[in-house]
Amino acid sequence: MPLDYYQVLGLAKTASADEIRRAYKQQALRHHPDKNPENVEEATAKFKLVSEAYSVLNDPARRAAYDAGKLGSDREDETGSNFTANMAHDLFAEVFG
Amino acid sequence: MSPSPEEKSYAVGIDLGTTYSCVGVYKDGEVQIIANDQGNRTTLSYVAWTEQERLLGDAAKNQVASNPTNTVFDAKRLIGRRFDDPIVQADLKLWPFKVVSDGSKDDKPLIEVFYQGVEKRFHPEEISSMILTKMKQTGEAYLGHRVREAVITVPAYFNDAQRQATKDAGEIAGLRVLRIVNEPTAAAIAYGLDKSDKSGVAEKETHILVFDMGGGTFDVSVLAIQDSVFEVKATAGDPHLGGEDFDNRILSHCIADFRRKHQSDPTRNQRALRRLRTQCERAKRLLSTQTSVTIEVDSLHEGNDFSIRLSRAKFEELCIDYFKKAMEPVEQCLKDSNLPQKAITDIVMVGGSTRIPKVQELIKAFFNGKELCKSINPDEAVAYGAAVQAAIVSGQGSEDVQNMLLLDVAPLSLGIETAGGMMQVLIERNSTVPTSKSQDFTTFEDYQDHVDISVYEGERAMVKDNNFLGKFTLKDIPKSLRGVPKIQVTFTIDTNGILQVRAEDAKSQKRSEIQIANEKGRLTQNDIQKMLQEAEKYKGEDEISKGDMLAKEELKVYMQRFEKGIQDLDDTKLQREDRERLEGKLADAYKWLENDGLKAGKPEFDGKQKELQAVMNTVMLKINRSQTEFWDQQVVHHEGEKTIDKGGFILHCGVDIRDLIEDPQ
Repeated sequence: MPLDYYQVLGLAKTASADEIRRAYKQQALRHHPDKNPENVEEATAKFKLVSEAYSVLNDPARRAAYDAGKLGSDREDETGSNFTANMAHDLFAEVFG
Repeated sequence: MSPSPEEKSYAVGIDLGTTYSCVGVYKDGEVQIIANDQGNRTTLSYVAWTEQERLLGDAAKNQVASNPTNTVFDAKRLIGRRFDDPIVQADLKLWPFKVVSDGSKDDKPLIEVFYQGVEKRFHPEEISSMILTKMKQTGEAYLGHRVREAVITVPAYFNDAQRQATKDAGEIAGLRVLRIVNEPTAAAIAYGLDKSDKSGVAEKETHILVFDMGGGTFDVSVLAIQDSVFEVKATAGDPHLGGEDFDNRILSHCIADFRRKHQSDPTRNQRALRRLRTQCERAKRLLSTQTSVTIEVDSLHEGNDFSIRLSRAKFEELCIDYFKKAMEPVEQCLKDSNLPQKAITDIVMVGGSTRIPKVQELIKAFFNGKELCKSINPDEAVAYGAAVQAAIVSGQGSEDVQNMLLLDVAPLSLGIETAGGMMQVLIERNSTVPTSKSQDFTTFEDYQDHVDISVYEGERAMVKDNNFLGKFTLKDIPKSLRGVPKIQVTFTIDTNGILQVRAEDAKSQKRSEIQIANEKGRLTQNDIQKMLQEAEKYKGEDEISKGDMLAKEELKVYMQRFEKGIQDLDDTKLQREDRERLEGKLADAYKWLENDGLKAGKPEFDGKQKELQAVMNTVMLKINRSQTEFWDQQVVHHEGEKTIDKGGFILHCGVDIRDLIEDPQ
């Protein structure tokens, strides 16, 4: 079961293109590292998920493929849930050596 | 990320341009573009070394004709490039200063100058750092405190090496670089704020195209703006196209004409070239508002004067291939953004070269006659946006700024070399940053214990056609049959658009990270430290000679006032013997300035000024003191002070009465 991009953006599967764009911007404002100076690592990881979801759902062809289950997310769900923590760890290592 | 709370200090935004730089700060709810010590809101990106001192900015350009080989500009055209880069090799021929290779395998370019009789070599990063230092000082003079943090802009189409190098330049200048921002994106902020001021915050998503053509680089970006979110959809450009290329075309045209008229070749005469180039640039500017212009240089070469009439039509003919070439990135960018042409609501023109009527005409024609947006200042918009971004990132802005968000993209695809020299793209161009992407790779041979990973950027299918960034090796992979190991390669691009690559063997958890920095000739942390120290040393020297220079200038100004004072006093007030005494003193002072003044320091200049003041005061005291008038005077400030000293009395002849009061005589 691939990562649910709709869930990442807080959308229903029937969301219109305009709703997707709006949701993306809302989520970006919330999670972009610039908006979370206290918590850059986690925010960065979250933001990356948000923009990944948007890059698929905002492209009609890719969205259709994703909806049809033909386009898996880059990560399966099990690694997907670990991903944030891993990313955070990596970023932490990156920033603090 | 935010500055330490105990001290209030503003982060500035710096537009580090090829020919001009500009600095701004977001303070008290608005952006202030800061004028330099010459009163100019943009500063020439020039550094010069004379016998006595190092000059930065406008002062460096002012003496270029007499000191062409030690006056350095265009560092932005060198930064992050190799010496053997064809672009560097082509530029070399046009520069009056000398550029050499550092002789290492990285083939870094070094700029060679003579300073105090000694040959000195500088990395382009160091030259840029000097310009940044100048901008930093300009900011400090205005803000009245040390500037420690900055947002610096780069062309959107700058590659990874060029971004890294620019960041390094900031560090050498003693700045913490909060962010590297793309120039057209910064300009879009200026546009967006301008719009939202006028029409309230746009609820509907609008799309704009920023056409940014400056002195040396050219960018096009398409952005979507909604509420306060600025999302870059796509970007394209040419990191080596701008006003200087047009100057060069005019220059070549003039040289050909000179050769024909005088049968002599001025191309080896650096001074002549410099003087001619200055006039060519001037002509180009004038041709934006008038249809023809005369380029004139007296005694250009071997005693021959030069004069030529240049029409706008001829100028356009000389540069038309450049202008047409500039339309390709526009087309590309629009295509990449997946937007129809009519979706673009505004075309925002930024950079000095967008004043050229033909450039405007071509882009207008491309958009079927759509009017261009010229409401923002093309020279200051980038610094304006950088200042806003500095406030956003450092958390200093007011609420409306704090709600803003910039979503920028990586301009080039990034990937690694796979079997057969193919480029395997991990991050596609125009991906929003920060971003990361992982992909699994495996071994080609049985019992292979290491893999080499070569990283490239570019859009071509074969890596040989793309730009090599670096190479690293993942070692100690547990031995197994080919195809079994799982090696995860992760590309991470940070908010500055700078890349990090990591490879990890899933089984052994062995990890290796790329040191692109060292691989592709970026400065090492050690180099940066050394340069930082060197820069500090310079700063000391600069400050000493700046103090000297300032004292000398003050003396000169006083002498002019003194002279004017003598003239203004008529004979009924000033007795003949006093007049002669004053004139004699002044003549002595001029003579002193011409001779001893060359090697004098601040104490001598100050002493001389005191001496003149004393004699003037004695004479003045004899004259009727009642002739005073009210006078507002802006006193000479120490850096950063911005108080206006209201009031004060001045005598009729232009001497500030406070001089008299302070003086014991």
